[in-house]
Amino acid sequence: MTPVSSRLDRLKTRTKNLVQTELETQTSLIRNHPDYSDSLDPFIKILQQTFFIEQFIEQSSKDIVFTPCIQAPLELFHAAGLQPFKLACGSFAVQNMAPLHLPALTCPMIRSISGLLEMNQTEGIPLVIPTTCDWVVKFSELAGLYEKTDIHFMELPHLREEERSAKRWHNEIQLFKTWLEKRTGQKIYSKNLLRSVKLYSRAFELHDRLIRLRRKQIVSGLQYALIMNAMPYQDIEIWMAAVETFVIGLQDTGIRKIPVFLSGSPIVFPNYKMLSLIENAGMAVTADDICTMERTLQGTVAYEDASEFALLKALAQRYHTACSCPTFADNHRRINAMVHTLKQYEIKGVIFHVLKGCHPYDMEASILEMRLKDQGIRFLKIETDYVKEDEQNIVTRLEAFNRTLRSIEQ
Amino acid sequence: MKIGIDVGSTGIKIVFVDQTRLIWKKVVPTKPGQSSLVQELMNQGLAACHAQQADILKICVTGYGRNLIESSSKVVDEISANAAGITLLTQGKARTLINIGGQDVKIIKLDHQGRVTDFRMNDKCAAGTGRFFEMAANILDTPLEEFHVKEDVEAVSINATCAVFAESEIVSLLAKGISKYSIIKGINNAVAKRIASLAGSGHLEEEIYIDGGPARNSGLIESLEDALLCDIKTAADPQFTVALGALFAD
Repeated sequence: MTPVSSRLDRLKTRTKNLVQTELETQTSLIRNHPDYSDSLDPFIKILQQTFFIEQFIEQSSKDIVFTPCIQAPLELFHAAGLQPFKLACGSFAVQNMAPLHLPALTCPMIRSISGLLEMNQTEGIPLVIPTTCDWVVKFSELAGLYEKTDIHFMELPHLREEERSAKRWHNEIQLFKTWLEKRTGQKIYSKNLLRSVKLYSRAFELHDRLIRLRRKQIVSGLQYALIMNAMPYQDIEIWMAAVETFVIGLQDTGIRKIPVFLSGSPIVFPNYKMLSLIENAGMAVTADDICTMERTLQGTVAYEDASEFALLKALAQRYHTACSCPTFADNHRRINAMVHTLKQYEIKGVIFHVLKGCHPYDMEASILEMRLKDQGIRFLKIETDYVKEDEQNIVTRLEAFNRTLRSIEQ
Repeated sequence: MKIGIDVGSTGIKIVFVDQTRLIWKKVVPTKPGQSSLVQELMNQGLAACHAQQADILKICVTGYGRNLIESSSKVVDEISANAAGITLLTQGKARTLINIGGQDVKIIKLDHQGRVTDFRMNDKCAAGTGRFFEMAANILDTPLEEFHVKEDVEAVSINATCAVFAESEIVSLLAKGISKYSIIKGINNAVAKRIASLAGSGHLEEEIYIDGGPARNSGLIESLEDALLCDIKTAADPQFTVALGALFAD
C-alpha cells in the first residue's frame, strides 16, 4: 500500500501543476483583454507569486504575517517592518488540496485558502485573525494551524456604532501592536507609526485618484481588481510607484458602458469570472464595496495628535467604524454609503455577488435589496461558486439586467 | 415570414410567424449537434408552410444554446424574449410572468409597455424545474398532462430542494405503497412552495401568467395559486412563448 505521505506528495505535485495551468490560462485571458497594458505586469507578477509561498518568502525583503481580513491595520505591519500577506485566494484548482473534513458547504474562498496553505510549506508563519465571519474564525482550527503556528486573534466587536465597542477595539489594536513587537523584538515607536500612517494616507490619496478614474470608466473593473488585489502583498511604496506608472500610461478609449455597482463576497485573483461576465454583458463595474477591492483602502486615518494613544485610537476608528463588513450587526452605514455613491455617480444598478456558503453577505442581500429598490435602484443577486459551469445561467441574468438598466436610461 | 427559435436546455422550440400570427411550431428534445438539429427543424417548417429559404425575413434565437446557431440574424436573452412573447400574447396585460424552463425558474415583472422591471431566476439547480417534472413523470409513468389530481386526494410531503434526493424519495414512497396521485399532489405542492420562495416577500402584481413546458400541468397551477394566494393564467402555447418573443424583443 502507498504510504500516506507519498500520496500527499503526489496530490501536492498534481495540484501545483493544476494551479500553474490555471494561472497561465487566467493570466493569458487577462493579458489578451483589450484593457490590458504592460504597466499591469507588476501586479500580475506579485499575484502569481502568492501561490508559491516558499519562493515568495525567499524573494521578500521582510518577514511575512498572514491575515485573512482587512481589519488588522496595515500601518502597524509597516511600522513593525513586517509584510502582511492577505490570505485570500481565487483559485479553483487549489481547492483539491483543502482538507477533506471541511464541511460540504464551506465558503469556496476558505476552501481555497486552506488548500493554498496545505500546498505550501507554511509552518511557523504567524497569523493574525480578526474575528469577522464564522469561516474566518474557525478556519485556522479546521486547517490544523493551531499546532503549527503563532496565531493572534483580534476580537472584533460586532457592534460598530457603540462606544463600548470602540473602547474594546482600541484595546485590541494595542494588543496587536504588543504582539507585533513581541514577534520582532523591536518596539514600535510613535514616530515610526506616524511615518507609516502618513505613508498610507498618501496611498489613500492615490487610491482616491484611481477611483475617480474608475468612475469615469477610464480605469476598468478588471484593471482596478488587479491593482487592489495586489496591494496587500508588497511594500506600499513599491505598490504606489506601480500605480503611478499605470495611471500615467492610461488612455481614455472613449467607450462607455452601462455603469453598475458590484457588492458582496470577495473577488480575488485569478477568479475574475463575475467581472468578465458583467463586462461581456455590456456593463462596466465602476464602483464596489468589496473587501478585496475598494474597501482595501477605504478612508484615511484621522488622528488628533502624534501620541501613541491618539494614533492607535485613530487606527482603531479607521479599521472599525469606517469598515462596512457584513458581519457587523448595525450596518446601516454600509447601505447609506452605497446609496450615496449610486446617486453621486448616477449608477442605476447593483449586482450582488454571493459565494455559496458566504453567509453574512447572503443574509444581507435581502435587506439591501429592499432598501435599494425603495430608492428606485435595480438589484440583481447572483449566487455562485468556484466553478465555471454556471456561467451561461449567470450570463442570461446579466444580459437581461443590462436591458432593464438600458430601458431606464431610455 | 420570420422564425423564432428557443434553444433550451431540454427542448428546442421553433415557431414560424407571419406578421404576428403563429403559422407553424414544433418542439424536439435538445441533443448534441444543436445547429444541425435547428437546420432540420427549419427545413421541416419551410416544407410545412410551402415556403422557400428566400421567404425567411429573419431568424431570431434565444435560450441556453443561443450562441451556437450560426444562421441567426438576432440573438436575445431568454428573459427579454419571454417578456416580449407574453406581452404579445396577452396584448400587454401581463404584469408578472412565471416561467418554468428545463433547468431554471424565472419570475419576471413587467410594466405596462411590456418592459422587464425586475426578475428573479434560480441558480443552476434542477429542483422545481422542467427537468424535475420530467424525472417525476418517468418514475411515476404518468405524462405531465395527467399531473392534475382531484381535490380530495391527500398530498404527501416531498422534499423538492434537491432533484436527486426527491427522486429517491419518490421511489421509496412508491415502495411504501403510497398512491401515485398523493405523490403527484405532493410534487406539485413542493414545486409551488419553491417557486413561491423564489418570488420572496415582494408583491406579485396581477395579471399573473405562467409558461414553459410544466405550465401544461394544471395541478401545479392550482398548487401555485394556493402558495401565492393569487390567480394564475396559462399562456396560450406555453412552451413557445420564448421562441415567439425572440422575434419581438427590442
